[in-house]
Amino acid sequence: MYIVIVGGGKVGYHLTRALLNAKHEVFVIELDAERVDDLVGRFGNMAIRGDGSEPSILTAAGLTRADIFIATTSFDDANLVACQLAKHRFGVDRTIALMNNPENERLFDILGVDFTVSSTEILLAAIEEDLPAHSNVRILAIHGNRDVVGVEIPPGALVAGTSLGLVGLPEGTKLVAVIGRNGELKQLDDDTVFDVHDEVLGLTAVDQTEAFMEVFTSEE
Amino acid sequence: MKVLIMGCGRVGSYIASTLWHDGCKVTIVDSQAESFFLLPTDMRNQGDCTIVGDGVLEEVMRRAGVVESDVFVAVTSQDNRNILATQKAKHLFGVPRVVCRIGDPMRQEVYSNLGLNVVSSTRVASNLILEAIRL
Repeated sequence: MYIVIVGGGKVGYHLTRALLNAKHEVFVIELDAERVDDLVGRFGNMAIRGDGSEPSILTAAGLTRADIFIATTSFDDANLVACQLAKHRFGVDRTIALMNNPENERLFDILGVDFTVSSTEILLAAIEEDLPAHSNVRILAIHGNRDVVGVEIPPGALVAGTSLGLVGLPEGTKLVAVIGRNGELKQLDDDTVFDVHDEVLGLTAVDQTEAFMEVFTSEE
Repeated sequence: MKVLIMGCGRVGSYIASTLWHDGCKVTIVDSQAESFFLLPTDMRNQGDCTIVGDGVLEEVMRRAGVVESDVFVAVTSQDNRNILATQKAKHLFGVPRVVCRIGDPMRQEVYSNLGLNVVSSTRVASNLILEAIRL
């Protein structure tokens, strides 16, 4: 695949390395001349200096033939504009944006950015996972207003000891996996019994996340 | 008519004062307080017309009354910020009318095609200067 990345900073650089190792063709657009030189020195003529939200630079990067476009600058407005140009002017199928301010997620989604990655959200999830008070964590936000969530069944939860077939899940949610306390992946069928300390992974519509968590943590 | 303007430069301040003298309820946002010196004194003294802050942020937009606004205008000097803020006003806050200033002719074309109300003075100014050169 031909992949164009805006931003040759830490995120862009490591992404480039990984993609090149996977044998994809990568091109990077970066504002800082030194970084461009560094990239070209390491990987060959696959980087240019410029503003990734400028149509002329995107043309120079051959964006028209790109399969994927990824905007990783530290400025949400630039990432948004770059992705919109990529999609609407250059016809790129898949656009991905790094989103620094989590409040922009809905807007990016509405405006057609195919996939957004919020570094803040990921860090928050990692932090929440460490906090013993929280028995649930939002693992991933997925395009289309969906979440992948993880919830550990706490002691005293009503669902403990009940089998899957008897548990009613909220509309718009789906059970993805149940991991036992020893890390074993449980078979998912009607006879699967939920135990305390099981980790339950589910796919939920954003407004059903709470309800889904409730099923596995409620004590009444 | 309630108008929210982002950017109090030469263009923003002129639009703000004109609308204000016409009797509109105007709120203008700029990240720097000094910018408001471009506004007429009586408007500045009004107190509730100006807000210091980053007009792209949701909380600033709300504080500036975006929810009750009839018109949102983005006229900072930076195209990307204008584009982000205008689309936020339109798609998240449902402001009925939005106007976005975009200097870059290529971006202007893309966003006009996307249905955004775009105003670009770059070509107009360039053509006027060309005319002046040719005379």
